[in-house]
Amino acid sequence: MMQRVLRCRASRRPGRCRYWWDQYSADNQGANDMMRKFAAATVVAAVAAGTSWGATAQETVRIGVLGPNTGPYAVIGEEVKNGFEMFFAEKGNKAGNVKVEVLFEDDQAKPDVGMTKAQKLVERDKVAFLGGVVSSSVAYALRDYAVNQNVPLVVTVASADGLTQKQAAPVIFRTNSSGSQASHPFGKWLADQGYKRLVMMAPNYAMGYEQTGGFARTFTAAGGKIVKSLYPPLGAADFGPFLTAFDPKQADALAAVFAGAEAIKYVKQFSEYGLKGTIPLVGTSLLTDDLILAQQGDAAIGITTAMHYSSALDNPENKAFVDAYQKRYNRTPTFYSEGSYVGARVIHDALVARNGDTKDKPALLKAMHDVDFVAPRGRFRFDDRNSPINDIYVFRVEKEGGKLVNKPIAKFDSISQFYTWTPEAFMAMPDYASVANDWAK
Amino acid sequence: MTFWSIQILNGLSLAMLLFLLASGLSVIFGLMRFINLAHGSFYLLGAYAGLSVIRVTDSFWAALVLAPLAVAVIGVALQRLLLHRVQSNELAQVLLTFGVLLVVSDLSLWIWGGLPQTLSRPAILEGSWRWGGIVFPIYRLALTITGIVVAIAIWLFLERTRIGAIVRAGVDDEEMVRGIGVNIGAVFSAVFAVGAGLAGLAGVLGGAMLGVYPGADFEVVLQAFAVVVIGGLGSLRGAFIGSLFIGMVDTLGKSLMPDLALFTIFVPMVAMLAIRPSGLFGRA
Repeated sequence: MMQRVLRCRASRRPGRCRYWWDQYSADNQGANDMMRKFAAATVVAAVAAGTSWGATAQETVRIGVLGPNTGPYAVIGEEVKNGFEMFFAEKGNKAGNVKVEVLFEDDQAKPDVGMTKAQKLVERDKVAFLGGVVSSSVAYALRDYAVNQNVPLVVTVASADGLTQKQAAPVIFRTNSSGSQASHPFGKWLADQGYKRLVMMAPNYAMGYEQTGGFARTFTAAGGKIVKSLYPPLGAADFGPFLTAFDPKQADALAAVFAGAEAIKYVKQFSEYGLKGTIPLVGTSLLTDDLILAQQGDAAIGITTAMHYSSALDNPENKAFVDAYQKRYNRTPTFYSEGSYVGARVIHDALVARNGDTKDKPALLKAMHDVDFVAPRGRFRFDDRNSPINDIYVFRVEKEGGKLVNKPIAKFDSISQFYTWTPEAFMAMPDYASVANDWAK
Repeated sequence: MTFWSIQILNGLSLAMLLFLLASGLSVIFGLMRFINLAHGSFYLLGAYAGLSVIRVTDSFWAALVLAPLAVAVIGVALQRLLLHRVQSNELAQVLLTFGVLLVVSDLSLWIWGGLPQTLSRPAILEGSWRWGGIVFPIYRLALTITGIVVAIAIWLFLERTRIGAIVRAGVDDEEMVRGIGVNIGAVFSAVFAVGAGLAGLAGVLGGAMLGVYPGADFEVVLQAFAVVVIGGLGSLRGAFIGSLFIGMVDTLGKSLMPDLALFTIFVPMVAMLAIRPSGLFGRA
């Protein structure tokens, strides 16, 4: 309407309009303004009413799950989805007597996209919980939003240390391991095995710095030396230049942390450049999770990694979990799907404890914090900052009955994200991201 | 010594992959004055088509032949139906081909999914080649040799055949070629087909080395443009030298200064634009 009025004013002869309807709108300008205001008021009223309906009629609790469907971590995104889906399918999509609906969104492992999708889930779909999240960059980006909106965020894959350390908050939970949690005992273990010199390689963002920083800190404390650290960009198509940038004679082992499609490529190229057999490859289990092992093939045999879970763990809960997962998705579960399955259970158990009430936030958060159950990995409970205390295993890739498995060869009991330090002492040390380039000095 | 030999081989293999892409891009521009951002789509389509062919026939060699042909056909269809409409308008060329790039990118995501995939290679190209202290993947060696062979073949074609002469004449003075009775439209389409086919070939070869995933089209089109800016538009020699330069700078930069990995090829490109905008072998 505005446009027509303008066109009328712009017509060649002042006071005359080119078209009769311009004249009409010009004549009725006052009336149109009234109409517009009325319409706007109606919309505002409708929106306000809409939110109040939403707040009262909470029979279905919605959970928004974020994870990438595209890019190098797409494989992991699928694992997250499977974990949540399978858990709630087993419970008949219910938590006690409330119905649960899980909504999935693709965050493309990009912080900006993750943020937009989280806003969509919280503000439009009115989810009561956010879950999933694979990339640590996305997790860090969502942290403040979850705190400001007071929406519990259950991170099931991203290992970002800070989320449950300096940036810990009652609404932030983690169900896997923090970035350096498995690396700390592993670094010490490597030194105990007689390794003296390490070359480290990982993608150049929070995850890579924290996971390699973890073993660098305990490895050097036990007398070892970091010879070189290399951080290729995330999504590097070709590891050739990096794999050939150091002399394998300079080091006793190559410690690498890559995930998803990158890990497949990395292990294959490690073998193509003749490094397999020349220098041992160690890392965290991101490098050889149970799903990508099959694609890496025999190139992966002998790789030694640390993590809190692999499908080869021998306990009844894990056996049941692996069988159910195998049956449903026709593949072996990973610590990604286990973490997401456990994350779904944390939400479920808290909902049951609160009888489906998500209004009383402090009580809901306390119920989540207090969960204590036996998960496929073993006992699951949170520390004071909502990060789980896990048993950490050292796994070695071996061939068993024609199939590659991560076989546990050593175990460290009840390791928290702070390892042997007190939380205060640990957090007083500089972040792994800020010292990433100092280890090799 | 070993370090440098391996880095040079690494650089050469990347350079040859880039050359397959950039040669088509550069000659198409030289002949037709056409800025084709959709060249990245040809790479992506080549890789995905190769993937499908391998799934059906279980043969890498079949993919190596069929996928570039398919891409060449798609290229000609695109040029005949769509791109020739904006022949004389550079802004429209950029906008239209960028649109094509986006559409193809989403179509491939829809058809082939978002999981990164690798084209499986034939057994004889697996494994590594050892010589003295040097260990180098056989596949990359084969790729390097293929690139050099293709470069010589294109050069012979342009320098020694009648069609090559017409193409070179077209690059120099299109109106004069038209004036002496050559059907330049047909030559345009043929060159476009060859350029698209080469990009498709690069897709198959690159897909088996680096994998194929959504977004690969944007990555390679950026690198190919860096090559063309450095080498000079419309020059085959420029595309070759530019590829060698970018391949080496990128590889050495990554292994010597990994922190600057995203940076190493664009600094020379920007420097070239500032100092010599026509590139090493381009004509102003």
